Amino acid sequence: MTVLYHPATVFALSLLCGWAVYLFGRALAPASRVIGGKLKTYACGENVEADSFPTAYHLYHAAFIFTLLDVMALVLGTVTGTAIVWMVAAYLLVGLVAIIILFKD
Amino acid sequence: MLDGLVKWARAKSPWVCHLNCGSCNGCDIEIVAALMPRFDLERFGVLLEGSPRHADVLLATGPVTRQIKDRVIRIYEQMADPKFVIAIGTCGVSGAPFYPGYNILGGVDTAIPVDMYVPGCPARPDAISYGVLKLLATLDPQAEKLVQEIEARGDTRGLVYTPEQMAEQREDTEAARG
Ligand code: SF4
Repeated sequence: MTVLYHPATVFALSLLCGWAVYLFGRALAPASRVIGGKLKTYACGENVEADSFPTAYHLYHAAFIFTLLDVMALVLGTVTGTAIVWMVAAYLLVGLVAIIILFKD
Repeated sequence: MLDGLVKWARAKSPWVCHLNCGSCNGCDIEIVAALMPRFDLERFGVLLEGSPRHADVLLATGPVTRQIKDRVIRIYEQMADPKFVIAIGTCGVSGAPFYPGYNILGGVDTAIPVDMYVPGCPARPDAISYGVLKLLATLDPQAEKLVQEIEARGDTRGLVYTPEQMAEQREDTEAARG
């Protein structure tokens, strides 16, 4: 039973569900017609070029650290009872190193 | 079976997006009125969407100006297939009364294909609802029955035109002009 709750199983099942939804959508949708600006960014009809977007990275670090913490919390929260303590500690250490590298400069 | 399900879903949840091509705002207000509880277009499953990416039907008001033409085409191209366009108001139908102003190209069909025309200055909200219903009637037998009932109850001539009827109407007008 525990194998069902294992993060890897849950991840694989989620992936399968996602694919099923996607394939169902593909089956329902008419054949795609890529005409003119179909694939362009929607900007109320304006013809925007990709490089005309100013990209602000000043919050990127903060967002990334929260993502890291979230992933770490998820992994630690779903760790199975048989996991070895040093593996958890190693994982936390890797996370810590990642955060330090992120804020190095 | 899947086809039936798709048709049913498509006819029961037509999401609309409103595009002002150069309208005076008169017709836009009437679209809002058509969506409000008095005329209640939403009873047919219609939902007003902010983005044409999520819409099935484009409600286009106003004449197509030189400035907006490319934008109208781009917005139309960015809608998901299958898509429909309803030209609302006399401006959307023919560009009048602004046509042939220096900046006006004509009705919505000078830029993109139109599936239903709702004339009027401004177009009446009940005519807009009727136009949407007539469009749905091409997809859904239940809506078709409703349209037949409405037509049996009163005179609906001139409220809404299909592209074929509009072509005939234009020919008649040209002939009358000589
Ligand atoms: S048809 Fe009349 S109300 Fe509608 S946009 Fe044109 S001028 Fe305005």
